[in-house]
Parts: sequence; structure tokens; C-alpha cells
Amino acid sequence: MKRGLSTYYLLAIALILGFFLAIQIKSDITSQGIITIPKLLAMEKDVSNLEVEIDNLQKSINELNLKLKDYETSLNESGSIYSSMMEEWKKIRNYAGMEKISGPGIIITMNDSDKEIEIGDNPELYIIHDIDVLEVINELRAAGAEAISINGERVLGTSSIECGGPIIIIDGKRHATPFIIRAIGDPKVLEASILAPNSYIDLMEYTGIEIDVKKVENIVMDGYKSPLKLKYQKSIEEGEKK
Amino acid sequence: MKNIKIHLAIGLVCLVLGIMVAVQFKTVKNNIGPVTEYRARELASQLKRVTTERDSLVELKNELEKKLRDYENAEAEGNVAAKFLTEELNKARIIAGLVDVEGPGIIMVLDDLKFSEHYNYNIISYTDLLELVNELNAAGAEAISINDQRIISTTEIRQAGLHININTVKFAPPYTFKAIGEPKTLEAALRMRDGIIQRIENKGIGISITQQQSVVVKKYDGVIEKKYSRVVKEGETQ
Repeated sequence: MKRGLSTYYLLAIALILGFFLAIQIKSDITSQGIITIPKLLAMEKDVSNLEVEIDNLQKSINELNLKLKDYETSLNESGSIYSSMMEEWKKIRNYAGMEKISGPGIIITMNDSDKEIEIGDNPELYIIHDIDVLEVINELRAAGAEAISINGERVLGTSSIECGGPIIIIDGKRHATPFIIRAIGDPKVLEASILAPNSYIDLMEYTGIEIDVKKVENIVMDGYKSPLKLKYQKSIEEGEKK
Repeated sequence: MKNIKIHLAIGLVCLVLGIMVAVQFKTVKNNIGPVTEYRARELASQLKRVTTERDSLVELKNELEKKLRDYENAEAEGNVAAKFLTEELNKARIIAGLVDVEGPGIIMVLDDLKFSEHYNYNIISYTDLLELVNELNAAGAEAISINDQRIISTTEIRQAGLHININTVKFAPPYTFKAIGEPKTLEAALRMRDGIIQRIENKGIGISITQQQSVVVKKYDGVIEKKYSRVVKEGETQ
């Protein structure tokens, strides 16, 4: 009798085990071809990225088609595309940040904190660092700023911002505090995103760094004036690529 | 003696069973959500479709750009002024990031070794990328891309959950930087003692930097929009 009981136990356990085994094997089959959640998410990400890219490509293709038509018309009419090229040059120069521009936007003024530093406080928190300026610029870009300048220096993708105490070095040029950041874009959107709760500026204000943000109807911004970085890079003509 | 054997057998079976249950639970946990083979297949075919569409559009865009350049080069022939203008136009395109460029430089890869995938937590943050770009620029980089996204004047680098958005395109690690400039200077600037590389490495991020004689940095493939700004004409008073 005793032996019989343990046999039943064994049988029950074997049954359960078999059941689990079956489920296990079945669920393995579902993920055949190694479809895992991270892979699926990566695929979703790729699809949405490609959709954005396609949208962008279609827009640039439209723009290129317009320009080509423009070249063709001027070639037919005057036998030369010189003036159309001149227009294209100005447009690209504007894209490159080399033209003086104007438009609505916001002006941000940042000053080191003049709070008394108490014993035990970290004085590093009371001054503005490069990363602070970088973060603010980055938030402005994310909010759709079309052009940005710091203390009158136009900021490009290749611009560097280094701070050393009361001075800021932008593309190798020194400027003193206060730091004045100008951004052209939709003033409402720019202001809202820069002042949003938990935005970088919101956090910086806790440490007493003086920040003033104001919307402006018209900002005039000079083009990029530092030497162009063209020593090492060469453009690749289409066709010889890949 | 017999009893011990049976107990051992039962014990063994229980152990196997326990492992099975554990594996099973883990699988089920990972598979939470409407993940079916069907969904995966659907996504795969969608991915294939949009990839083909993208590829054909890229080809068309390159073709049109070539046509544009052909017109310009034809104009430049035998006309000094037009030749000069063509050169200036190409320079402006390089500065704007609208053409693929090539030159000596470095390739740097930041890898979190699947940390974010496994633990749902980012050890590479957008500020790391932001600071690296700034550091490279300060060291004289002429053109930079991260995962082939060209850094231009409007490029944002933003955290979006586990992803980082660059030019509104979502990325997950690894991040590959390509920078054109003096290779030695670029690497030395990053590797400065107590510099950014050391700080990032201390977080457990793998970094490799290789100096190259030729690095290709892809052009910006987004759309530049100027809705709010307009060019101030010379002599115009504001």
C-alpha cells in the first residue's frame, strides 16, 4: 500500500511535468526564428524611423524638382543659369547659418548666482558651466529653433562651447557673462519648452542662477563669422560613393 | 535503501519540474503584450516594404542632386564667374551638411553591451553624446555624425525613454560617432586625463576609438525649414 501511494505521487508529478514540458515546447515554437520582445520593439522603431525618413525624402525631392525646373526654365529663357545658381547659393548659405537673418523668437539671459555661498555649499552649483549652456541650446533645438546665437556668435552644428568661470568661449572666441542666448523660432513654443517644469532652466533656477527669458517679436542675428572648417573634409561627388 | 532511492527520484523530478516552472514563468514574463507570430510577421513585411520605398527614394534624390550639379558644372565651364560660384555653392553645401563628405578622422563606438535591453535602464545618456559632440567640435572636428545622422545647427540630441532621438530619428545603443578632423588631436582631446572618456568609461560603457585615414560622414537627410527666419538684405535697416 505504501509503495502504491508513492507510485501515484510519481505518476501525478510526471503528468504535471509532462504538461509543463508540452507548454514549454509549444511556447518555444512560437518564438521560433528568435522573435523576442526587444527584437520586435527594435523592428517597430525601425519602421517608424523609416516612415519619418520617407517623409523627409519626399519633401527634399519636391524641393529638388522645383530647383531643377527653375534651372531648366532659366536655361531655356536666357541660356544661362547663373542667376538661379546665385539664388540657390544664397538659400544654401542661409541653411548653413552664414547669412544675417531676422525673425521672432526668445532671448535668454543667464548670470552666475550672486547668492551668498554658505559654508558647506558647493560653489560649483552657483556658476554656469559649459554643460548648462549646451543643455539649453539643445532644448531650444528640440523645440524647433531655426537659428541660435550666444553673445552674438551664431551657433552651428560644429560650434563648441567652453566655459571658464566668468567667460564663455564660443568657437575659440571669448565672451564675458552674462550669457545672452538668442533663438529664432515660434516664440510661444520656445518659451514654453524652455520654462516647462523639469526643464533644464527650471532645475538651474533652484541653484539661484539668474535666468531671464523673454519673447521678442524681432531678433536680428548675424551670420557665422568664424573661419569655415574646410581643411580636412572634401565633398564626395555622387556616383563614386559606396 | 529502496526508500532513499525513491526519495532521490522524486527529489530529482521535483528539481527538474521547478526549473521548468521557473523557465516557463520567465518566458511568459518576457512575452507580455500582444506578441504573436502574426504581429512579428506583419512587422517584418512592413519593414521590408518601407525599406524598399526608402531605398528607391534615396536613389531618386541622389539622381536629382546629380542632375542639379551637372547643370551647375556645365554652367561653370568656360565661365570664370560661374566656376567661382559653383565652388562657393559646394562650400556652402559642405558647411550646411547637405553633401556626403570624406576626410581623415576618427570612428568612435559607444556600447552599453545590451545593458539597456536587459535592465530597461540607460547607462548612456543624451548628455554623454552632447558633451562628446562639443568636445569633438572644440578639438576642431569639421563634420560629425552619430549613427549616420549628421550633426547640423538644428540637430537635437534628446532622451526619449530608452531611446535617444537625433534629428528626430530614434536610436538605441550602440552609438557610432564619425568625425572628420586631425585624427590624433580628436582622440587626444577625448582621452584627456579625467576627461570625458574616462568619465563615461567609469559608468561601465564600452568605448572604442579608431583613427582613420578616411572617414565618410553622411549628409543631413532631413528637411531644413525656415518658417520664422528670413534673410536680412544688405543695406536693409532694421
